[in-house]
Amino acid sequence: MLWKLLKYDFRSMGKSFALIWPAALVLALINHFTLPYDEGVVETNELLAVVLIIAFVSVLFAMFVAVMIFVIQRFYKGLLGDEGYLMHTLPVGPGQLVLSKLICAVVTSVVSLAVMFVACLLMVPIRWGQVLRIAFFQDLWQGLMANPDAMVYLLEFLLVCGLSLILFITMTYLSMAIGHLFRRRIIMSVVAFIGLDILGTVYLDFLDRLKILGHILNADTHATFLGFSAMMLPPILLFTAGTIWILGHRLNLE
Amino acid sequence: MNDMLIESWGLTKSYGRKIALDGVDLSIGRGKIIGLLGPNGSGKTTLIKILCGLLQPTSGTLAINGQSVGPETKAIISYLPDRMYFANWMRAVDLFDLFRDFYKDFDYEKAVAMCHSLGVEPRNRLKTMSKGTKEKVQLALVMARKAQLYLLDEPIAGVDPAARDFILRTILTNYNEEGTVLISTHLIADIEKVLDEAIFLKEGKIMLHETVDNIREQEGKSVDTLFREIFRAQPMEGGEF
Repeated sequence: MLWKLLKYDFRSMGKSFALIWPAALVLALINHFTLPYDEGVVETNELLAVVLIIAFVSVLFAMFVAVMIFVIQRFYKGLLGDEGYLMHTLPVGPGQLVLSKLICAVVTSVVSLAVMFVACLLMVPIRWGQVLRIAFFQDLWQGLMANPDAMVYLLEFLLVCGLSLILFITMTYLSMAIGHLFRRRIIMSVVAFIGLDILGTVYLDFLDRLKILGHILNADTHATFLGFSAMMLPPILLFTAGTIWILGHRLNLE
Repeated sequence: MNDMLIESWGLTKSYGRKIALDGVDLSIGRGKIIGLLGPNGSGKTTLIKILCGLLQPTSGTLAINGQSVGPETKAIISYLPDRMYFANWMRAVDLFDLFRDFYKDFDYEKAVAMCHSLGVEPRNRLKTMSKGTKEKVQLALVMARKAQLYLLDEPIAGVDPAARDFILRTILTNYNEEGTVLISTHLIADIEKVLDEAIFLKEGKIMLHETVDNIREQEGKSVDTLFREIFRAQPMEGGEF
């Protein structure tokens, strides 16, 4: 059933970002040819270049805002608003509903970051002919062989980033679920978010008192990355379980 | 399979100090068309939402087909809400796909055929449709299922008399006759002729739950007349405005 839910959440994501993702890439490509780089490969109108770079930055900013809105709206409208009348009458449990929204939100954020990264690569005047030479890959391979830890560092860093993203999203979900229990839902959601943030500080203080935080920070880089990842797991599980419990036991679609 | 499709004991729902449902004891069997009748604010929608799992009761017990409300009961309930519940990007066929994925008893071809008979093009985007057309799509979704329990919340509210007949005819010609249809409304005269049983709700309490035949026999009047008598607003007497 989770796959079936994901199918519809991904379709919704596709509709929401069908314009903005290609727009960012197209603008980056146009900027690639119009920006007056120092090397002066192409002579261009500087005013046009400024306008295009502003447009590009605006699209990237719009994408960031769109991701935030999408993450919040897909959960709020989809499960706590009118669309909730459809989703909560499907023969699935609240756990699958929340998980589907969470997976979709994470994928949307990651794809948006990837689009931003690709757009930046497209915009700068990289000489792809030279970059893609076999010698480049040979150098890269030799470099990795000389420092085998580099790939592991990268993966660990991505793990910390991914878990931070999931932590933020699950915290936002729980805030909205708590806010839903009150009459002034939006205000109470914001209050709940602030409250959960304060709890996060208390949690870090607690870990510090137990000398766990210091231990993680003073350990080698691998242990630090893995320690931070492990630290984020309890709040992620707690926030997710809390959201599922509220939707399962306290749902009130008035 | 339980004899009773719906059973509740002392079902209560309150919003703060306001009690929307007050100790409702209910037993509803199978293969019936039942009117859930009451004025606005009597608790009809609250009861239906609790049956669907959209609201949690404050206290009391509820069993549908012998089970607590959950994925198993939702699989046998076809619910028509009192509002639009679909996302703007969808087309009717997207909703039909969704229903086919989740409900084993959903008949895709029947839904498409119903749309055509209702004058709706199912490939059109929902956001381009009028409110009335969207309601038809929602009706087609609900009635294209061979459900055990149909919960129809005010299906004929806010439409003209001709459209009411049209909607009722659609419901009557498409529902699963082995299942039960629970229709909430305050427009009694329009649906009285199709009802097997009537439940009168007043201020969250069940005033009457009886077969329509018994009401006519024992009271010597139509359900509509009895409803008007029970729910007639009391004019202010002896006082000043």
